[in-house]
Amino acid sequence: MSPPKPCTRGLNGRGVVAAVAASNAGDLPLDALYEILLRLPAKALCRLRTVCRFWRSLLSDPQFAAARGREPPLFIAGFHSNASEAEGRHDVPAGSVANIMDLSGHVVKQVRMDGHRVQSMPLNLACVRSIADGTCWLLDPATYNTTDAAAMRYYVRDGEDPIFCDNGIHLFGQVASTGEYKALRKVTRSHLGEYGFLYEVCTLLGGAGGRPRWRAVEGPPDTFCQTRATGVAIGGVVYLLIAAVYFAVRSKNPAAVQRDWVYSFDLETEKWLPNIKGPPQQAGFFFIDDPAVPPNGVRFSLANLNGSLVVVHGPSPETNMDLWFLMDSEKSLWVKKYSIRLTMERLPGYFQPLVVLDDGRIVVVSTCSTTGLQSLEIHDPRTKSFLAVAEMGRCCACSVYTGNLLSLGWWQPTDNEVSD
Amino acid sequence: MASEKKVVFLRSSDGEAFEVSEEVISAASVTIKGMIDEESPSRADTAATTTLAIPNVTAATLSRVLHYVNKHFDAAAVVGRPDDYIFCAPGDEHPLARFDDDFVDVDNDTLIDLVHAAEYLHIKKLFDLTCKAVADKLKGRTIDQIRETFGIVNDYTVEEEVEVYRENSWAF
Repeated sequence: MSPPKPCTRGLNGRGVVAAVAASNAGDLPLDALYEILLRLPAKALCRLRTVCRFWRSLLSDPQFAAARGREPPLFIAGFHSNASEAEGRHDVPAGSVANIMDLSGHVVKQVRMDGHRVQSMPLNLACVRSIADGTCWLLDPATYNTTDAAAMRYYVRDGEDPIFCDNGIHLFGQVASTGEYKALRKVTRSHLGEYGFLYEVCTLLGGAGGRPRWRAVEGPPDTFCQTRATGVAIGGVVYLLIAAVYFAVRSKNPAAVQRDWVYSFDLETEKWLPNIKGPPQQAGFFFIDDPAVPPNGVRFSLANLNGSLVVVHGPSPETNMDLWFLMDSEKSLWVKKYSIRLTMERLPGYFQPLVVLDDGRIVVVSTCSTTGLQSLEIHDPRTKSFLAVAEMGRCCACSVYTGNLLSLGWWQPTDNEVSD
Repeated sequence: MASEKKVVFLRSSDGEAFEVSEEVISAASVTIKGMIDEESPSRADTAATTTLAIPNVTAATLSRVLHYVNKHFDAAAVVGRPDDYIFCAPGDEHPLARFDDDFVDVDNDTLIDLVHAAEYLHIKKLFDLTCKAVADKLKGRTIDQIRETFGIVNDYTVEEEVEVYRENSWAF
């Protein structure tokens, strides 16, 4: 069956759509219907697609989606599907799925990526790695489907790439002036018997033929390779936490804290920018050695919250989890906008802030220290409370998804669900 | 002074005439302001009042619309300036919020007639208010009730309907 022809032009010029509408627009003038539907939440609109063909084409129209303006954010989480290993099922291929869900935890769209493992979820895309040969791609989960796997695919690295980068970091950004996707990675050459690190930068090319050409760039010696959330890309700039500062904070060495905190790399010019200094020294910037805080627990990390660079400090038994927002990178002006108190039993967990909502509430992914299970929660600073939104199990990557809910297209059930 | 204010008469589709201040209705309705401006040269210095035909709006709806217009656009009747509410924080009670709530607390047909009238007369505030009210009503309805409300025929084939439900099943 072919879907009804979408009406994509001139919704305000009634003449153009009148022919489509006349058959089944109901009692209302089109302008009024349009205005009424614009005032409904996206989820209700998806439900209203079932009313009739005309409503379906109207409510699937990208122009209509664009006219609605800002939406509450969506989230995307990647999971490894281990059904074939865990249940001895060989009919389900190993791989990952990506769930796009709304603020109430409803899965809006699920995308299967058989034979691939999700590595990260940058820029509304999924960075996946082939289980067979290690080749990495960026995929668009909104348009990706298994029958047209070449669509919206950016090569990140070839499987035979000798550089050892599985334990390294890949940070993806988008250059504003050109719209190009670029990546910065930090790799080791230990397999060649060489020490030290190598930074490489690359422009990602779309389509199956766009092989990545990584170019070496000079880089600083003291950044992290594996530790999560010590590097973040915002727009066309990559930020890397300076390792010495991290250790100074952990070892309570005040002398080291007052210096530069963050390296920044401009993906457009492929040059390092001036370092960003930390906030003026605060009494709260030190952790006590407490067995409740696991030695590898990240208590000092970087995040991208609504396009701002944020340093996440804490929580520890003596400090809240403080979120410092960079207001002006040239002046190194930081403002502590959130200070979140966590109960003793939750302290050992890991908290990754994802996004600040319009009403000031903040969405975090929390990881339980004993079970390793993750959940999506909303923290309200006024009531100092957490609201659990969705249990996410063991997800391997989670981020904000700013794509439009109405443009997401088909919902694809997995084999696992069909068999249930 | 009030006694010197010009008035116009609006004649509904079913022939009933309503008196309204020219200043007030001009501020409210882009459509009627246009009609009055067209008429102006011929009535410049005459004392005769104008009667404008509003062929798309019934008397019942027109009287509701004028009730709204007199509340919202007659500076003498409004507490504060008509647009004061834009300075209110969300949750603050606009002086006319209660009036607006009551105004749209009507049955479906009346509400849809008001949407039509607001659109035809080009009264943006009333159009926004009534569209919002219809949207709010839609939220709690089943698909069948919505079809009934708007007089829409379900033109899906059985297969198409299954498919469109499956695509959007998460939203139910």
